[in-house]
Amino acid sequence: MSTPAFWDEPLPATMLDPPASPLSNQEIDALWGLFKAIAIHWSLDIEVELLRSRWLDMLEARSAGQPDFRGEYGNAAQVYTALVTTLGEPAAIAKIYQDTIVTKPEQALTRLTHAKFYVANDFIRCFVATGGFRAFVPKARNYTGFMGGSRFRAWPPVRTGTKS
Amino acid sequence: MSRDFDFILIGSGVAATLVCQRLLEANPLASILILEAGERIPSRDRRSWWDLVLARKTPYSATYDDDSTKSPAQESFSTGNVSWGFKESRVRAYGGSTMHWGGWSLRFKEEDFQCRSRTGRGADWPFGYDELEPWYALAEQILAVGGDASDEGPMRSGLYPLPPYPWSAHEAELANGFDTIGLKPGHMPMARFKRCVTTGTCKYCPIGARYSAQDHLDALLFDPAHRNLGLKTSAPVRRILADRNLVHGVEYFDAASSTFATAHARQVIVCAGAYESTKLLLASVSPEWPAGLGNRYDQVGRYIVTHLLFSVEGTRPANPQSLFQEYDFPTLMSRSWDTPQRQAEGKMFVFNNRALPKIEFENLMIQGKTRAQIDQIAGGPSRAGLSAFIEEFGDPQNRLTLAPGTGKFGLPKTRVSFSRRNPERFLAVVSAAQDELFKCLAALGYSRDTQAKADPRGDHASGTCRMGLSPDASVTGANLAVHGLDNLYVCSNAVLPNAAAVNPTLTLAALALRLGAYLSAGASQ
Repeated sequence: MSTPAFWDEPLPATMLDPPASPLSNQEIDALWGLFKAIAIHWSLDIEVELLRSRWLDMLEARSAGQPDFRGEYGNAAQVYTALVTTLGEPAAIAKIYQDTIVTKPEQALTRLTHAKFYVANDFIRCFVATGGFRAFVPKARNYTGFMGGSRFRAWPPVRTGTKS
Repeated sequence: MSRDFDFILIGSGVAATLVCQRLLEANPLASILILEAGERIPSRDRRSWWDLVLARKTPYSATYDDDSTKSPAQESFSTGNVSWGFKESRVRAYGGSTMHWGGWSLRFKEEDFQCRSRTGRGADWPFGYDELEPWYALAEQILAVGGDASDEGPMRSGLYPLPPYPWSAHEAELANGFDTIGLKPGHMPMARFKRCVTTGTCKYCPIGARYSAQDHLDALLFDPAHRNLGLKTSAPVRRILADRNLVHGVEYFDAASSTFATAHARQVIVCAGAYESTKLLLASVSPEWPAGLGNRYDQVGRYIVTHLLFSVEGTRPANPQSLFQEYDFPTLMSRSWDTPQRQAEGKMFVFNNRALPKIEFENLMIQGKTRAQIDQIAGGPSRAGLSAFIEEFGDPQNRLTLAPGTGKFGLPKTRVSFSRRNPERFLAVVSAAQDELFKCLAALGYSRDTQAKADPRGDHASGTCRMGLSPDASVTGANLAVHGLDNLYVCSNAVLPNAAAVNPTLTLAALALRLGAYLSAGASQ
């Protein structure tokens, strides 16, 4: 019987326990690659670097408190690195964002599906809320979770209209 | 442990906070103890906010009532011919329901203060709108309400402190449809500070822009000038202690020492929301008050009302501009059905369904939709919706009572019995209004899709300690003092004689400021 690929190794459906140490720079870099891949997969014309500070804020916030996502982040970093190393980046991105659909916790039974449900899905939500929505609708100005700046700027925070 | 205070305030929401502010403005050294049954749930916590954005979780959801009939821990019960909803209707924590409210801040109108005289239904207030108007203006300043003074509404002595939010593109289009059914569009007055950055996560604002009593009360507590102001959380009050017409303190559970404690005060103000304020009076039984404080005439708990929320939705085949819920809170509203002409049947307050049109890109991506599919959905069929509150009238047969046992936070369980005497007629009025609202959507090319009437829900529960001149038909007087007692006050939605058509928070804020001034004047004498 052949050994399953790293990302197909079975895991229980429950969240992975966090390690004692914080995320390493290497892990954060791998996770950033996973985040940037969202724009690549959906052909979204957006300067992803502009989203990095909010993404890091999310990562830091979810690496403390309950539940602590560091165990899942570590796993996702390893999975993405293994996928890229083995399949190349385009195929790795397709593997995660196209081929692996996980919408319920009970479906997260392998390293890959854990990475998708607990990490990549949240990265998608973060991507959209922090500005990615504009890549779908360029004229859109605001979205739930987006910090658009004071409403007393010269321009309104949302697309507006006037009553005729 | 017992100690003398000038004032004990029970509850820590907007009412307690504003009463406290007025008392401290008059005397910064006033000795005030605030007792809150719930815990402190930190506001502006980054993790909690990200949990809301990513997982739609809120940090205070565990404080909500458990009203499930399948739950062994059920603590809230509904009887009568109308199901009364408790779910997610109040936050029991430091800051009260301002931890989760949407910030809508509308004044009642002049006719709401004379409901019975005008319609034969409900009750009259013991004073008119003119008496409360300056307090409304002050409340709008403190809560930082943005609105348009030229919109329909009651008489105003001045402008709003902040300008209104501009309508979104979708709402501007809906406003055009309002003409079809004679509605004049207006801007929802919102209690948000200047620093609002429109995240749409008002249920847990990351920067404290939407008014929260917790942030406000923290500022009062942290002010070194207020050295005699104290707060205890996890301290449910079990009984108010009284001898004849004077209260002398309260008995509460002190979580820190896991014992019952007594605190004495010259004045006690119950600011514990409609449910807990009422239940506390009922529970405060003594030989002189066998049915509970202020309850010689069996009025405490009666006349409970809230708002029924009804809605309509329509669909049209294309959304060429890919409009979606950019604010995620409504800024379009109308008070054209909130008029004296409609008062006898129940006035209505109309507003945009803030969640529509809905395009949730993240969900489409998580479901594996391709870019082309998402683009097609974004420009494809879209939905719009209008919602409304309708006023109902206090009926003595409808009442809030104590249910046996205690629930979360050591508070007594709650029972609401709510029935409509003529449900068919009432629901016919609602259906007719829904038909009218559909005409507005139809004028904009939407085809009729769904309509809904929600069960009455406790968010706006009121009337159970209503104000009035006569102790045999009310519980509190014009200055919110409980009839028959010289130093006990209720300051919560419980005191409102009528529900009117709009949510009660701004009215409660005005009453709290007025009460604080009244108590300060009395204290100074």
